[in-house]
Amino acid sequence: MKLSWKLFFIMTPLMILALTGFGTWMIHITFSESLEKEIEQCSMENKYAETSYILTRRAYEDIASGRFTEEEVVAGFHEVQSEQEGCLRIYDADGNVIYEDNSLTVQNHIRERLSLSDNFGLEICEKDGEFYVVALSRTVNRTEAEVTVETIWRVTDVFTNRDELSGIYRVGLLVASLFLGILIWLVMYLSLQKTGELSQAARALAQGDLSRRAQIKGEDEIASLARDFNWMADTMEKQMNQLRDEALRKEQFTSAFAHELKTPLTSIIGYSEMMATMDLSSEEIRMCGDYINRQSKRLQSLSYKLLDMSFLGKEAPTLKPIRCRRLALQVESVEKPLIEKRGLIWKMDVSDGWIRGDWDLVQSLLFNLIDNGAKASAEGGIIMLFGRPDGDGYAFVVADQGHGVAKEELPRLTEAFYMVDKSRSRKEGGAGLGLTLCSQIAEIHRAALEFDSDTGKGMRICVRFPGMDFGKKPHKNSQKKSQKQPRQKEQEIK
Amino acid sequence: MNQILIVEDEEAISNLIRINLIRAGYQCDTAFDGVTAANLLQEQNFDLVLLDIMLPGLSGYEVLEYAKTLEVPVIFLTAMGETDQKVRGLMAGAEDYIAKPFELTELIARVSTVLRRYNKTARLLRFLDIEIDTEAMTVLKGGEAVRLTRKEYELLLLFARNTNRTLYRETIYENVWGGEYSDRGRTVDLHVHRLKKKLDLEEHIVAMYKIGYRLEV
Repeated sequence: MKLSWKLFFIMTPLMILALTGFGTWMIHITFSESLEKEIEQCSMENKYAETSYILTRRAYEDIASGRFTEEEVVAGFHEVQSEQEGCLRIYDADGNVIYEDNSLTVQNHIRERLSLSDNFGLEICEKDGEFYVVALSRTVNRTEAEVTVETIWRVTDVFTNRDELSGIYRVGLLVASLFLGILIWLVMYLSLQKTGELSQAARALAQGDLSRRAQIKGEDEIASLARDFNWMADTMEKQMNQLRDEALRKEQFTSAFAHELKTPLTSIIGYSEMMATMDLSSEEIRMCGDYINRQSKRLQSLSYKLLDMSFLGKEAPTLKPIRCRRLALQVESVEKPLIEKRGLIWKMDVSDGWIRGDWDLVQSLLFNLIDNGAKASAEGGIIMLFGRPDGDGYAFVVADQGHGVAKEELPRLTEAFYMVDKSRSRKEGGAGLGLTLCSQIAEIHRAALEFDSDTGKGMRICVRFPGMDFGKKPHKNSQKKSQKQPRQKEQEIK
Repeated sequence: MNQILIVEDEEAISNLIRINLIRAGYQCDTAFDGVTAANLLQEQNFDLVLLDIMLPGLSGYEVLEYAKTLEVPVIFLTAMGETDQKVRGLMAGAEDYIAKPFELTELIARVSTVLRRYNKTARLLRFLDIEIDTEAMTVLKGGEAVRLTRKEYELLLLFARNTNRTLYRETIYENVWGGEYSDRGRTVDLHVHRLKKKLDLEEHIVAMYKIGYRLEV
């Protein structure tokens, strides 16, 4: 059974019970109050009649000093008696009626209950479908003649009122129960229907529709559950996408790697097969040898880069403080002769600062960037290495005046085996892994690698190392100077 | 003379294919990117296109589509050994594929197979005084018919299509008999010996020590 039905079956009877109880109590109170009022009125009427009779009789006693008959008293009493509802009857001591204004009699048992000390009694009686209050009071007048005054008061209206009221209430209760029942069921159904939407969303999600979310608005518990559910789905979708991207990247890497591996292999195998199986002229042999040699070198460079990368992937190196100027001088000592051999001009301007890093890796990063710049440059071009403290950290900038890279190609530069100009890269012996390696080294150092270039405008690569977390080594002076200088230098480079 | 277009962005591989196809008696043109390839296809009539899938400019698949509209058969070259790429290429209408790295004899065999399928090879192969009718499957020497067994005929055809090229024993076995070559058998040598005798080719089919045989013309 559904929860909405369960709640409906529990709630509705409880509510009907409560309403019935309350109604019955209300009707009872109303009824007792009106009855009380009637009874009071009846007894007042009774008392009044009694008093009035006694006074009449006394008056006769005073005036006529004993010479009067009961009939005269009654007649006198009747004169002062005003018109009234109900029925008034007076008995004498023997129980004979001496006065009555109405012939209505109601059987009652009050008389037996009356005693000398308690001379007033009430009773509610029924006769021919009508209800009456009967009040009886016995009085002893001065002459010791006993009379009993009986007042009969019709109270049928109170009873019929009660019956009518409960009749109306019963109908009302029925209607209210029906209405409330439907209302309860509707409210339950609507609020629980949201759980249906939620479970639909969950099912869709389980079936792989990762973009599906529960469409529930509001502030109730189910809505907050739905929000949590959506949040979970968001996180899951993000992670799934990450995994998918990663798998895609791996696949791309593998297929690019296969291409990079098989292309030189094809040449090597093909040309060596030619040499082995065909009569070739010495010039052709030289050509084959040259191809084999170049393609083998390409394989060699590929395997070195791959080795570097797998080394990087394995274990995080321990990062130690590096003095940037010393590092730059060492890089210069290696790179300057190579650059100049290519007919390029080397420029360096590095101010001192500290970074946390692995000496060999940072050096390899700079080597790679400088090599890239040199490969892109035409003869006579300038290769520049700048280093400046940058905020809390330190930034190296490698800039060249080479052919540059189109803006839209920049984001793909660090992709493995991505080459902007394949044929040129090949001639330079590139494997398409240099910048991939650089970005991995940068990642290890939590450094940011920024490229700025456009076709024909040269390339400017900035490596921003973060600040060192430990306080003793950084030079405060150089850090303060740093704020503006790198920007200026960067402008100059452009 | 069959005209073949080689579309390959790696200069070394393009050159390798060109040299070998020219030696096998084809005429070759080369294109290093997809756009040039499409232009060449439009300008000239080719009997076959050898097409690399990973190309700058237009991708290999796009060039393949274009070649199909011109009804030029295509063999594509692929660096990945991945099945789905082969399947995709073949589904797109390529006649055959060659996976890099490939052997040169395999390249030439596949090229000639596809050309034959399209009836684009010469019906008659001639060398020295021998004439092979590839449709009637008859061999004439000096105008007289020579009776050959089926294997001998196929062996002769292989030599005739690869004149002046040394054929490895493995290559010969795989091309004529099919299946894996096992070193122990003397099948190849035996058949070559019989062929030499029947066609009087003792001086022209030369045994290369430890490698195989070569038909020198």
